[in-house]
Amino acid sequence: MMAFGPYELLAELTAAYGPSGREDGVRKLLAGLAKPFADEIRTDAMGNLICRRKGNGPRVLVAAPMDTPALMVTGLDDKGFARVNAIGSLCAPVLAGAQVRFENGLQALVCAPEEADFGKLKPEELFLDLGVSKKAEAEKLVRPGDIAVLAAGPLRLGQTRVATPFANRAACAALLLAMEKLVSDNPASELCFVFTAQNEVGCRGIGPAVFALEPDAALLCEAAGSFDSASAGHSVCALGKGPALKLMGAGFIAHPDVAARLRKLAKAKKIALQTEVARSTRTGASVVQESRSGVPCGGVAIPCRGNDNARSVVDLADLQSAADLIAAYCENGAES
Amino acid sequence: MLKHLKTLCELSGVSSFESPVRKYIEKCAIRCGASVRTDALGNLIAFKKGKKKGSRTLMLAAHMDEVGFMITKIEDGGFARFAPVGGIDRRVVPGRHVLVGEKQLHGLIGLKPIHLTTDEEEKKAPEFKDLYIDLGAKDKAEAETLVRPGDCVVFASRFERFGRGMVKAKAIDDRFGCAVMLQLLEEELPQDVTFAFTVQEEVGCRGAFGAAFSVRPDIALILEGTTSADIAGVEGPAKITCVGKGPVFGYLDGSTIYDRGLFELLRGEADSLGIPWQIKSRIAGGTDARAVQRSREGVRVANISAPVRYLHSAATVASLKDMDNGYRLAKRFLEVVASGKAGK
Repeated sequence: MMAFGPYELLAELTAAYGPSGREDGVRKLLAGLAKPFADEIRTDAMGNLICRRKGNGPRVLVAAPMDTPALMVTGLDDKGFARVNAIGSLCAPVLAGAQVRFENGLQALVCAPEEADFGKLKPEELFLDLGVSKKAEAEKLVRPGDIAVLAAGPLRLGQTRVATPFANRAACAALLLAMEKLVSDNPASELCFVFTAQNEVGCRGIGPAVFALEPDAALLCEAAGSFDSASAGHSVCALGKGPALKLMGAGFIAHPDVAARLRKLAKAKKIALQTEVARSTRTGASVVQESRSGVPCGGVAIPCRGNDNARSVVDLADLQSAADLIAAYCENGAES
Repeated sequence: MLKHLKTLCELSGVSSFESPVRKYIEKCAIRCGASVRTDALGNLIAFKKGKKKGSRTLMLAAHMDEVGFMITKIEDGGFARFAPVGGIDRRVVPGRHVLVGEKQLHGLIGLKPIHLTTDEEEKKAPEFKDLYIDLGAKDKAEAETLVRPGDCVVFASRFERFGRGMVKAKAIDDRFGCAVMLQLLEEELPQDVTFAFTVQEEVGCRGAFGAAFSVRPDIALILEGTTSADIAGVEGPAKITCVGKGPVFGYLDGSTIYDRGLFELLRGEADSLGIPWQIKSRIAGGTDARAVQRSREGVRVANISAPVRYLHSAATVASLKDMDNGYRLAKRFLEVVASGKAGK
């Protein structure tokens, strides 16, 4: 048994280093956590972590993204500041003043130029204060190509909410909890749990994993922007009202059988279910459904408030319910 | 390698019309004892046996195509309208000498004269729709006997050496990569290698996808030409790369995050050979790695590029030393992969 509840799991995953394309740190952590619940674990050429569990019946792929956006050092200036470029989608104004860390643990502060117009600020205008005054000193600390990620830890809000800089790690936590839940059961499907790489830079990781695994059906777990804060005109879903059934994203419409099955299971397990219809939100599901001759694909999302902020908020009850729903889907196989 | 580079740069090969380049490469590759095939998209795939089979299927790739234009319409007076093929800055186009169609007819890209230009127009670069190719024809009927819509157009530009170890030519992006691969094909290889000379990179890596799918490599090295803005008035990271400061290793660009182990391998080998190297100072651009990396179950990708000034113009500039060092590192890369030290 995992010695963790959802909060401890999310906290540990939040602390793991794993920018897009350089997911080694978080992958190692996930591999360790998943080991008791998988028959076989491997890493593919893209960096995806693939955990397989034997079963009799159709092959089901369940995936969650493990990478995070980041800042890459592109050069050092004479005063010892590091110039950066963004990897993935990052909102420059909210990064100014943020604490970041490198793979070796080195900490730095993100700064905006003194004269910056925050309305127009771009990530490449930001720089890192490394606490030194000369280029030669900075060169001892970082090299061009080194990557920094947001260093903020999880922040508990109220009884059930957590703010984290990496909302997708909540999806990873849900997958792990689902895997744990399945350990004593006898799943009717062959299960492939995939923690995907390079999602933040345009869902690049998952395609090769789906190609290799040739699943009969796929279920994606992601964080869904809830847009339910005080000022929002219309919300997609709300925190604390259960996981969201992904019905539509950019280039993706859920397969009706998968969606119907999830609805039925949620009802049977008494799990409150919302829906996510976000036509402009990019999702790995668009890549999955077009693999080889096509894969029926659906998704379970964890509502997340403030996706573009330095930290966004998820509800631990939603996370746990998402895990319960995924586990129910896995137990019952892909057939409806 | 220089001989190949000169010949290759002077051949025409606008995306989708790479056959002059392909024919030359095919002839050379066959002479080197490679088995050669051209796939449905036009990629030339050359396989050459090495001292051993090797534990990893290794593919080298470079694209044969170059940016250019395509004729869209013949107008009264015998002038041809055209559209760009690939990313061309329209400021580098007016007044250029070009070669049109399979017969490589001379043409000149013209623009209405200064006395007909409004004050507003003087401030802006002309748009493609305002430019035309003068074929020297007397009227529309004669022009129609010379060219047809769909004919490809390339910059006419000789390969020249100048300054201290510099060359000027069109299409160094990516005949540099093709020349490195031809040079390697002429040598004894440490393991079996497949060389993919790809088509249609400049319009979105359309050829490499098919090449990688059929070759099924475990590891791929992409050889390219990349942009360099180390010119007067440009400071700091905006230069992206500098000509003369060594080959550029792909680490992260606009479309690919390269395999970390292979990047570190290149960096380590360059340091031990005493070869200078650089990475791009801004995340931009892309290579065929974008298509190769995500082929089938995923492919570990690495990239060596020559820094090139005035990329995608009639006169691009690169350093012979950078290109030679790029070749040396590609050769070293093959040896390390053959030795089994490049990881799984």
